[in-house]
Amino acid sequence: MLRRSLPGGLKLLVRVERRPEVTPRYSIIVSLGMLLLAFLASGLIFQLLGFSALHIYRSFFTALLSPIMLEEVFRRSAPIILASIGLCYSYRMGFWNIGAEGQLYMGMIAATGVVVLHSAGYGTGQHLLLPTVIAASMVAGGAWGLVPVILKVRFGANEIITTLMLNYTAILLADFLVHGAWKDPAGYGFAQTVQFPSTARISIPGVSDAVAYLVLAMAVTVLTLLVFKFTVFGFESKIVGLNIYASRYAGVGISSILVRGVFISGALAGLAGLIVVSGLIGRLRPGASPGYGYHAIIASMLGGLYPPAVFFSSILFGMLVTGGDLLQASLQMPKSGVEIIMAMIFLATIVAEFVKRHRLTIVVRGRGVVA
Amino acid sequence: MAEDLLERPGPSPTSIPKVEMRGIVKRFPGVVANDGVDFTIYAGEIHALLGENGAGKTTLMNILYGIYTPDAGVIRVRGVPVRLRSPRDAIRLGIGMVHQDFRLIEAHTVVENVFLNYDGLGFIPKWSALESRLEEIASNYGWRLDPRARVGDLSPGEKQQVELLKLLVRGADILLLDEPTSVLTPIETKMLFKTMRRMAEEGKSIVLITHKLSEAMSVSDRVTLMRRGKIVLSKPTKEATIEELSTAMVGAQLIGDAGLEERQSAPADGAPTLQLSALSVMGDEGVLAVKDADLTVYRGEIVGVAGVSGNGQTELVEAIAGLRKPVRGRIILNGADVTGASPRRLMELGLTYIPPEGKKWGIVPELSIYENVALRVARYAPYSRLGVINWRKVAEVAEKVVSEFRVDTASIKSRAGSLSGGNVQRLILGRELTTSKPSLLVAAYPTKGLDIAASEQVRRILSKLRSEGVGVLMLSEDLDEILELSDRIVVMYGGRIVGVVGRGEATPELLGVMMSRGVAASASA
Repeated sequence: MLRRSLPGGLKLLVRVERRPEVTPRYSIIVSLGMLLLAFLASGLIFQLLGFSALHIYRSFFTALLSPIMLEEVFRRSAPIILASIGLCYSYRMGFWNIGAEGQLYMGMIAATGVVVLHSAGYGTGQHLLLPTVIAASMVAGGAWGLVPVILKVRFGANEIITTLMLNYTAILLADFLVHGAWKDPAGYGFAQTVQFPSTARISIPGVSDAVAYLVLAMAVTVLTLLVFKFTVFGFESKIVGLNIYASRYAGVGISSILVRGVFISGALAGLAGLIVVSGLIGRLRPGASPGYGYHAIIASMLGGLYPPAVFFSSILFGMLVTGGDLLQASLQMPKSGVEIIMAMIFLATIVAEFVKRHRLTIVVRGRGVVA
Repeated sequence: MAEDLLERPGPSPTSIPKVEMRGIVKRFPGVVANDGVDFTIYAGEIHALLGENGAGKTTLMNILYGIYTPDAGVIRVRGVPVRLRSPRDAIRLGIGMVHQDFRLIEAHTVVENVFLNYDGLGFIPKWSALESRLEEIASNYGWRLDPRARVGDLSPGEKQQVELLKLLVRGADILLLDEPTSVLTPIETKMLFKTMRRMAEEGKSIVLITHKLSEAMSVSDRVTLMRRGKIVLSKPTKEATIEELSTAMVGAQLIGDAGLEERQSAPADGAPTLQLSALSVMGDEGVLAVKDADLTVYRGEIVGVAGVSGNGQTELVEAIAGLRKPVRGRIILNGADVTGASPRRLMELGLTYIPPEGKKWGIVPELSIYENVALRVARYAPYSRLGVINWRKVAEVAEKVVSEFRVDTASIKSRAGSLSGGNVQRLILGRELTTSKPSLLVAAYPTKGLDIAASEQVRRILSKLRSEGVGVLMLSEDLDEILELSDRIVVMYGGRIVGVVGRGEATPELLGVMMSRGVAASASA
């Protein structure tokens, strides 16, 4: 509480109170406002580091919005969108999955495994290769997500810890394979696998990759919105997240909802992994994901778990990831500069949650009234 | 009118009032919780502040305790106008409050909990000094309370004593007790009343905030009644009658109903709907909470379960509702063995369960009313087909629930969390009964925390179900309610069913003995 004395014995009181109701419109305004603050705060840091914030932002956004860079932004946004939409399934159930990165890596590993086998002469014909890699990446990502669910349901293990630890497991497994069994024999000793054939890539004839990915991501977003709004599964998953007691009472099969929700969550991260490995870099190699799975966490929070909003906040992160390279190349600023912006957005998202739920009341009080 | 009532002197006519609140106004978004309230407390009196839930009692006391600041009005303590900015200010003036929910740290001992609120101990606390001070206070009131005991190990009654100790050690002499008996057993309640009497004799002033008329009548010197933020009555308790108070409390609403008279007729000779044989259920502490319970509930009867809370009643109904797996024994519902079945299967077989603490178990407060109706029906046709919900159908049935069960709300789109306790209970009952045709209704404390009018309505619904041939198994903390409604009364003690008493033979005295000693009275044959 804050107090100010005004002339005439009046007192000004400022109080923080819980807001009785949060309207969606207000929620969006707060999120956008906090986003702006995040950019301002990052700008201040750039300024203090001796860069011109205005210059950075101007060249950053003009460059990113140029046709060529925009295409790259969309390509990079696609895995973030898929993973963050996936995370919405986990978070609405109150399952704090921070393992999208690991699930994404498992998707990359599984897809690569199919391609490695294929190049060695095993498995399906060319026309079945794409469905096989899609299925493999999604099942692998989903299954990786189920491990923490089982640990939680059976032993009560905290999923924040298990999902985080399984990220490292998946990343190191990818390293192990790339340095060992799956190393491309014709790759001059580089730690990388064989290149993905074009038949193992998601594409739409006649349009660029970026457009194809964007269409896929949009379809997933719309489908998710419909699932959340109109299906029994979508409704029950929300109930599980809001009130576990009422869910038990109402006969919701909590374990089955958790299993389905987290599997979808992991499967979408796995699909994101497929796009990274088949489309963005064309092969599996160490550090194939610059943290798309982590960016997705912030993007889904920033979008308030509302799929259309999450879609756009993911594109913002796609811009930041793309812009990082740009900073380094043209402004002689370390690539990690964008991480400052990302961290600021993350903090702003947390603050926004508080701001949305509270309000300030200002009361002017005269001396006559005893309070 | 209220004005001249307040001019009436208190127990000691010459004394200045200890507390005088004048014209207190407090507004919250959408409601006026206190609308020009005058309230006076004298030394040495127990002052009952009566009213239904939401009448503004707690708000008024929170103002006196400095938690809320009033929008208008004057407060005088011992004749001096004061400004109460926080509980700290109130405490300095000797005002202390015990909230309905205890504010104690369970992992700490009694003395440590008291220490947290006490700054008379110096930088390096002299524990022994505080301990002996606590022992002194406790023995003064006849409490057996070990200052070194861990608060988590104490019974609710003892925890309340710790809360009182926190106030007394700081010399509080104006004590505000918010619904202090809601967590207590009848014996603990008696003990508390004795303590309150003793405090009053010492010249302390006690405000008993309650919605139970019988409590107010039995223990207070003066009674003030609030309704919708206003004082409607304030007089010495011995001049007040129960009838007068209850009418004033609910206002124009009628109490009692002709429909209840039908209940007097003998129960329909129905078939058994629920049969328990040698059922044992584990409690949360890993000890058997229900031991070898045998019970049959027939269609068309109400079976009341009486017992001091914590004697296995809750675990018994949770096992029947599928929320707790029994360790031994069998549960048969309408002829099918449902031991260990899921809540969903039980529901589909004709069981409806009304959970205790409606806001925790029965609804999702963040969601709208129609979504809360969907909670129970979304899985079934015609509310959904092939996993896709038909929200129009859900809204239709929600409208029906709201209108038939008189849920007081602006719209089915309102948040369920904004409903009062009575409306939540009507919503739950309405949802369950509109969307299913149960053969067995298990209701756990269905009227707990509800005001008179709402309780009456719930009771009416239960007896209507009974006359429609539904078997009802009901838990209640209110013995009068059990006696009024039940065809048979089951008494639980120490996890066992110690007796089954028929409607004609049951008296409060008989049940009281069985509940407190576990003796199966001879009448139970």
